[in-house]
Formats: sequence, structure tokens, C-alpha cells
Amino acid sequence: MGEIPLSAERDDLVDKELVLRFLLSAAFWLVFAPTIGVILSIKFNYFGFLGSIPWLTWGRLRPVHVMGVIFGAFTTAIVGLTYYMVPRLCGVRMYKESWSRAIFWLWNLGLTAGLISLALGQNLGIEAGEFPIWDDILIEIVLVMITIQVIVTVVRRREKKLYVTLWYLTAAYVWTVFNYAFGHFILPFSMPGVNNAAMHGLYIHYVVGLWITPAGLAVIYYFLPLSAQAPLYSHKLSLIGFWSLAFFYPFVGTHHYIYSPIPYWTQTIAIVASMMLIIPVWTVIQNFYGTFVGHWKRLQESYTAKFLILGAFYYLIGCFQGSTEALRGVQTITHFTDFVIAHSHLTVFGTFILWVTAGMYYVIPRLANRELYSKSLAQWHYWLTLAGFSLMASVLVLQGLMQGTMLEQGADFVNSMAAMKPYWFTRTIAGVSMDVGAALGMWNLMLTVLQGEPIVSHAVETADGNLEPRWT
Amino acid sequence: MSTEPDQTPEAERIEHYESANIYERHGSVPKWLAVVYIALGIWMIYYLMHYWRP
Repeated sequence: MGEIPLSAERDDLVDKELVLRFLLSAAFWLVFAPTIGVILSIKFNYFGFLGSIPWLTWGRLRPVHVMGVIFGAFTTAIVGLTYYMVPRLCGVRMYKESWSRAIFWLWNLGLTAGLISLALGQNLGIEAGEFPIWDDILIEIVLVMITIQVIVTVVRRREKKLYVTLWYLTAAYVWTVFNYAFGHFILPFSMPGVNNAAMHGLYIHYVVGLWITPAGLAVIYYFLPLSAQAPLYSHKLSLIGFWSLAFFYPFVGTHHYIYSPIPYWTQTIAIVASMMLIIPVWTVIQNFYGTFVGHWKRLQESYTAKFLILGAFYYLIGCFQGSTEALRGVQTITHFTDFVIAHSHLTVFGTFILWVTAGMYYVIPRLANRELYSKSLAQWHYWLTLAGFSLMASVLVLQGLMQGTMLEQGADFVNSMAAMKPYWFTRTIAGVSMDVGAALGMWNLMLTVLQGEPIVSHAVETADGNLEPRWT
Repeated sequence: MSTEPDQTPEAERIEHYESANIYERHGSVPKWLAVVYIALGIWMIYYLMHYWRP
């Protein structure tokens, strides 16, 4: 198969203004939430940083960072990209478009109110589910509305075949509607003791594995073939990747409680399921790699491609690290150390935030009908992210192993903390690099909408008279 | 990772999702990946049997 020929694209199916609003508000959260992360990182070395103002203390800001990244940055971008991808894949406009404007305001209002309430000390006490319950009701209503829109649009589609992105998106929204309700309306008020902790582990991992992962995979499956200008490598691998994820992931969550009082067989099931996740991960990575073979030059031309492939690289490392981390022998060293933080950042930021960033680089110029404002800013974004995040991930892995080994050898806990100081400082530098990169990138996308050169044609003529798509 | 050419015409069959302008090969499972699936399956059975306790 040669290069994909140009054909008429169906952006007329998309509510362009709505998608741009969601993606530009995601751009704000993409800078805000990681900046809170940098502040937290500084406090590791300088615990008096920002004094003792209650809403700026570590305990208040940490959930602002976590919830801000997951629901602010990632989920806002996913909702915007959903409103782009679903109509395009179904060949029809989104069901109940009249809901979408309300959803935009309710979503951002709920998010802002939730994050402010966390800073003011209101916290449900569930990791990755810390918004107060009055805010959870609003968020759940919004999730249900979007899920209905997605499902009915898919049912009403003109495009008969269901592309893999739609499998993942539909599943992600349906799973999350139930998981969000479970984690916020049932879990905090039932099953006391160790059982609650075990269910808590399931909730956390359903946020990661049944929301963030499938929604993120939906994005890369959509934009990867387009940015490579090549067919997706294998429908068969798409099937295996999806169903193995759906089968194994629900059993993974209690690996947060290895060596805890939860039943031994529960831990064993979680360990096995965690290792079996190697199947969906290596399957999708093979699918992505196979798509790009013979088209690697696209990495020089497309920022979408750059961020997707970088994210795929971190996905491979982060998920292998996560799977092996569940093994009992590895857990004895890594539990309660920064090794775990390395994993969460390799996956949530290194993979999924970069994938939605890639989607934003594709969609924003296209829908604004403007050229990307500055290739230089995009390059700075990419390289500062790559350098900063690679440094952060490496440091966290090393310090986690060091910390765990020290404790296993009987070191005093305070001494093991003191030994971490240079690593925490390095992590702060890395985080600043990532933040500056993200700020430059999001500023670039904002300027693209406001001041970018209007696109006259979506095709450019090459020297030999052929037409090529205009890509960012 | 490998992308050896598939032998069957079905594997090379292309689907076109017109409204999104996405193309997709039917494809197949590379041999090395099939070996990984089998190895993990065997490990899973061993681990469940060896570490199953109340």
C-alpha cells in the first residue's frame, strides 16, 4: 500500500467551536496541574516553601495536583477529542448537540469548584476520588450525559464498521460512569476496614485502567494512522489488545495491597492479572510500531507523530515496570517508595498526557483553520518534555530502588529520607523543564487560534506536482 | 518487534473508514508475539497453582 490519497474530510460533522473550547480549557489545566506538581516537589527539599498557609500546604495541594491532572488536564482533553473523533468515525453529528455547550460549562465549573474545595480542605478521602460529594454529583451527571451522547451517536452511525477507537471510547465512558458512582457514592460509606481498602485499590485502578488507558488508546488509535499517513497495522491485534485489556484489567487493582492483610489469593490474582497486562500492552505497541514502519520520516514533519511515538515509548517502559512491580519479590523493595511514583508518572503523564497533547496538535490548527503559530515553540515543547520527563522517570526509578534497598537492609527511615534529597531536587529541575515545555506548547496552540496564518488549502503541492496533506 | 510480510491475502486486506479517512489492515499476529502470549499463559497457570492460599 502506498501513501494514503487525499480525500474530502468530514470536519463539517464536528462542532468546531465546542471542540476548540474544550481543548483550550484542557490547555489551561495541562499547565496548571503540573505546576502544582512542581510546587509539591519543591516542598520535598524545602518543607517551609510557601509557609504554613493552609491551602498551600502539601496535604491540600497534592490532591489538587492528582485530580487536576487526571480530571482537569487529561479528561477535559479527552472530552474535547471525543467530540471530534466520534462524529468523524460515525459519519453523523453528535447526538443531542444542544447538551454539549452545557456540558462544557458544567464540566469546567465542577472541576474548578472541586479543586478549590480540595485546597480549602474538603476531601472525600479516596485516592483519585477526592472531590467532595456535592461536586461528584455534578461530575457524574456530566459523565452520564456524555456517555449517552457517545452511545446514541454510535448506534445512529452511517459508517457501518466500528473502528477500534469507538470500542475503547464507548467502553471507557460506560466503565467510568459505573466506577465513578462506585468510588464516590458507595465506597466511602460502606465496607469498613480491610475490605474497603481492597475495593479502594480496585477503584483507583479502574480510574487508571478503565478510564485513562482506554480513552488514551482511543486517541492514539485515531491519530496514529493519520499522522503516519499509513494504514493501521493490524485489526486482529486491535481485537486482541482491546479484549485482553477488558478481561485482565478488572482484577489488577488489589496489587496496591500486596503483603497487606487482604486475603493471599486476592493478592495472587492481582499479581497474575498485572503480569498478563503485558499481553495488551505489547500487542498495541506492535500495532503502533507496525503502522509506522516505512513512514518514520513523518516524525520529522508531524508534531502529532512525535508526541504519539514518544508516549508509546514511555507506555512500553511504564507498563512493563508496572507489571513486574506487582511481583512479590519486586514489591518487597519498591512498595512505599518513589519507584511507584515513577510508574504513575510514566503512564499518566509520559503516555496519556502526551497522547492527548498529540491529538491537540492535530485538531486545533485544523479546526481553527490556521497554521501552527510557531514550529520553534513546538520543538521547544517536545524537547523540554522529552529531556525533563526522561530525567524525572530515571531519577524516580533509581531513588525508589535505592530507598527500598536501604530500608530492606535495615537503614533508619529518617536516614533513607535524607539520602533522597538530591534526587528530589533533580526531580524538581526535571519538572520545571516539563512545565516550561508544556506552557510553551499550550501558548503556541493558543496563539495558533488567535494569530496563526489562515490555511488556504489543506493540501500542498510538492515539487513534483503531487498533492500532500498539510500536517503539523 | 517484527513486521514480516503476511502470507495471506486476507491479512493484507484494507478497510477504509471513509468519514474519518482512516485505513486499516486486517493483519495477523506476529509469531514472536504469539510466543509471548503462550509463555505468559503457562506462567499464569504455574503462578496461580503455586501461590494459591487462603
